[in-house]
Amino acid sequence: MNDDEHTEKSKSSYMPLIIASGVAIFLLGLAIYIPVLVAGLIIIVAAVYKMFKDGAAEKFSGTKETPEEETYPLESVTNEKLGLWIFLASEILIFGSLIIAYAYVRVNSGSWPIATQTHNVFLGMTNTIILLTSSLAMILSLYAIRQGNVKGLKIGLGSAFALGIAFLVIKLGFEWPELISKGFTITSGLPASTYYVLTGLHAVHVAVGLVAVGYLIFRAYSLGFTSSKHIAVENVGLYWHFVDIVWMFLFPLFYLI
Amino acid sequence: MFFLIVAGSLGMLMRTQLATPNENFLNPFTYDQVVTLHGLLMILWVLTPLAAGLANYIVPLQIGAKDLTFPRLNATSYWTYLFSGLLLVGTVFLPGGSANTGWTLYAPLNTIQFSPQPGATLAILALALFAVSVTISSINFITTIVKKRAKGVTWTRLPIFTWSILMTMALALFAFPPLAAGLTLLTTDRIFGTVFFSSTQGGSILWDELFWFFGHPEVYIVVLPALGIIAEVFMTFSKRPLFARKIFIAELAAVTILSVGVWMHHMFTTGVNFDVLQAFSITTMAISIPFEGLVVGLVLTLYKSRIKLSAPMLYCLAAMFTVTLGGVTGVLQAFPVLDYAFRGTYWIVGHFHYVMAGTALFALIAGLYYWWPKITKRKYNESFAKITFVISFIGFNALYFPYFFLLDMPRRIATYSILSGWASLNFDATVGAFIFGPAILLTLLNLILSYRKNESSEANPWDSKEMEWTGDYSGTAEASTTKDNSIQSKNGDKS
Amino acid sequence: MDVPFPTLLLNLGEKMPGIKLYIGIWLGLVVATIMEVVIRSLPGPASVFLTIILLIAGVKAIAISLYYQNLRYEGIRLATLPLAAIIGIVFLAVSAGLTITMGM
Repeated sequence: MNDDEHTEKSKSSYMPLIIASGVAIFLLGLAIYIPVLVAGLIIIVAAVYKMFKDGAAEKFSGTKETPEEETYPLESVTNEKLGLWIFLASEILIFGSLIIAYAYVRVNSGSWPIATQTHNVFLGMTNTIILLTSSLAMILSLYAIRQGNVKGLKIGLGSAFALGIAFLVIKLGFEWPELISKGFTITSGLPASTYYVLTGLHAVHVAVGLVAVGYLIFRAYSLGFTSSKHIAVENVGLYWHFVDIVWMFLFPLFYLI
Repeated sequence: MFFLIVAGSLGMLMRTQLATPNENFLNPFTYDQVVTLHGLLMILWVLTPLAAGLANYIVPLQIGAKDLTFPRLNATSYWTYLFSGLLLVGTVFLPGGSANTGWTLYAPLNTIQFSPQPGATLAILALALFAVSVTISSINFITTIVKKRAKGVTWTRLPIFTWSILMTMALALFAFPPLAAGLTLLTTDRIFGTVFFSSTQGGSILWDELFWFFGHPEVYIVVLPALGIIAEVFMTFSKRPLFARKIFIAELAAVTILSVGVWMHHMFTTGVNFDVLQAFSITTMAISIPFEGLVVGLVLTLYKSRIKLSAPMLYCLAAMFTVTLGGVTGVLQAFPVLDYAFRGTYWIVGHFHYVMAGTALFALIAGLYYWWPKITKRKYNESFAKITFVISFIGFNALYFPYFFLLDMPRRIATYSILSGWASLNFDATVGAFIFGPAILLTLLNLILSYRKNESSEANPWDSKEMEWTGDYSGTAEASTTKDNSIQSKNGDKS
Repeated sequence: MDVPFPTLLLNLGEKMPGIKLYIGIWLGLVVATIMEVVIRSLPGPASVFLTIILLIAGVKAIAISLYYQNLRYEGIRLATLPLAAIIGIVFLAVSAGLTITMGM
């Protein structure tokens, strides 16, 4: 259709196979033998690094939008954004199910410790504000690049990244050790288990988001983004806001109620 | 295919064990593992992927796209599927064996206390990986169908199989996350020692809620593509348009949406709040209405037409027979009162094998035969296919029909005493298995041999008017399903 | 990943509110967060807290979704996806909730 005979980039890559095997090995190790898990992790990290470099070099073609396609009723949405929203729908379902499970076990159990006495509400609130600010930074970076303001983009991305790290540091470096030293461990009962599973899964999502933001920074400094070429910034932002939204619920559910 | 053979063999093992009373061919623990793996593999690793595989090839052809929207994501979905299946099968070789909980992985049997073997943990992780694979796949398919249709392929002209795949993938997107949530909690239970499902305060009910919110839509994920295939095959081999096409599509949508609202009928005997169960009983009866509409629509498509009894058509006709039988037995289970009698008996096993091994598997085989010339450009041996069909159909019914008469025999038991009176029916069933199983192998053989014979097929051997065959997407020629004029296609083969 | 046509881009959620609105929303979110904590420390029955605080949380979530995720400007069509997911979750919550036998 287009002039993509000679500009057609490769569509095939080894990464799917390698990432898939890395994950499979990771799970195998999780079930039977920890060193195997580490091997899986190494494979995944190496693959992600390679994907960073491929993405920055634009080695693989993205999706092509052509005007002849029938796309009603979502004509104005790029393929990637649509894909991401579909993914977010599934994420809503998984976090929603876990929150329902939490509510279920909590209502079903006779007594539950008082949240404000168990958790450090001040740190929780600080973390909430940190995450909100990082969301602001992400949307401002998108706004910046839409105007062609590359410097603004970099500042925004960098701030979001730093704030995300701060969130994890406060949670994993301060809150959790304090809780564990009080005997509030993952096996000490359902109140603790639900807290750790839900906030832990959320933290994993934050970490993955940081990897994505890291990729954006990596690319902003290498190949760069332009005011017409920045789908990734928008989509990572959408994911990041979602992670923030989940925390909007987790904070009151665990720290206040 | 590989998984089909593995899971099929597991089924054969089960039937061998049950052939005679007091059999000691498999010890109970092993038998339970066989039951679990047979179920998991068949439902998740065979039926769903067969449909997805066909869809992977055919949906782009049907909508005029070059490929799915995200090709590397597609590859990721495939590899994670393959590895998850290999992990699951591999659990058999671990010390202590695999999961022995039944494919429904009920609590508290699924906890570390009652099934301590690491194989069960790995099975659960494999299932989680599979959920990831399906989610990726659904993102891909939905994006493709929404955004990559060629000009002229508007929503009303969208082929029925593609509609069914869209519904299936949307349902998969909804169904698998709650399963993943449950599996996450189960994993922390097993590895980190949390007590989500072993708690005596509703732990096992929590598992039921999460699992069946997934489990019921899952079985519709299995059956919806089958209905799509049957519709396509019926249209081509009766040279008729689908009866009341728009209503058919609406009914597909109705079944899809309602299937999210019937899941508690798997919990009728758990003793939870009866009013809620009543509500679900009503929704379960309600879903049979559009479902019946689909079946009737398919039958009416054939009414007063000249049917060509090709292999795909035969399998689809068989699928209609089984869906009727399976559906009727299913509706009876919609009543909690009756469910107390049916629950956990071979009546249920008969019901779901009729719809899954019958309708879904037969329709998928029909789809394979039907689209084989398109995908591989080869011809399979039609007479051989018809013969294997007859053998399959006889074997299938010999195997599963007795189950309805065994409605007081509990499922998942490894053996039974001669005093139960179940011996002769079980023996008949096993005979059926030994007919049905080989017949499936012969079917596969037929398809594989078509490669070796290297006889290439013409571009549109069934003379179908559907878009994937004619390559004409713009619909400038009259919509392919309404008139009987032959379309001169510019390039009959779009691949 | 590239976007081929500038013409296409003009439709791609190009309507974005300005910096002032973003910062304004952020301020609102921070204030709402502080309010949640403050309300918690007020005397009163727990169930009232639960409802009010969760309502505030819901409003925060919706605000982020509408403005930061740009759903306000992208239209209802895209929003049907998360909405459908939320409806599914509400349904699961309600039906599972109705089956709970109140704690021992």
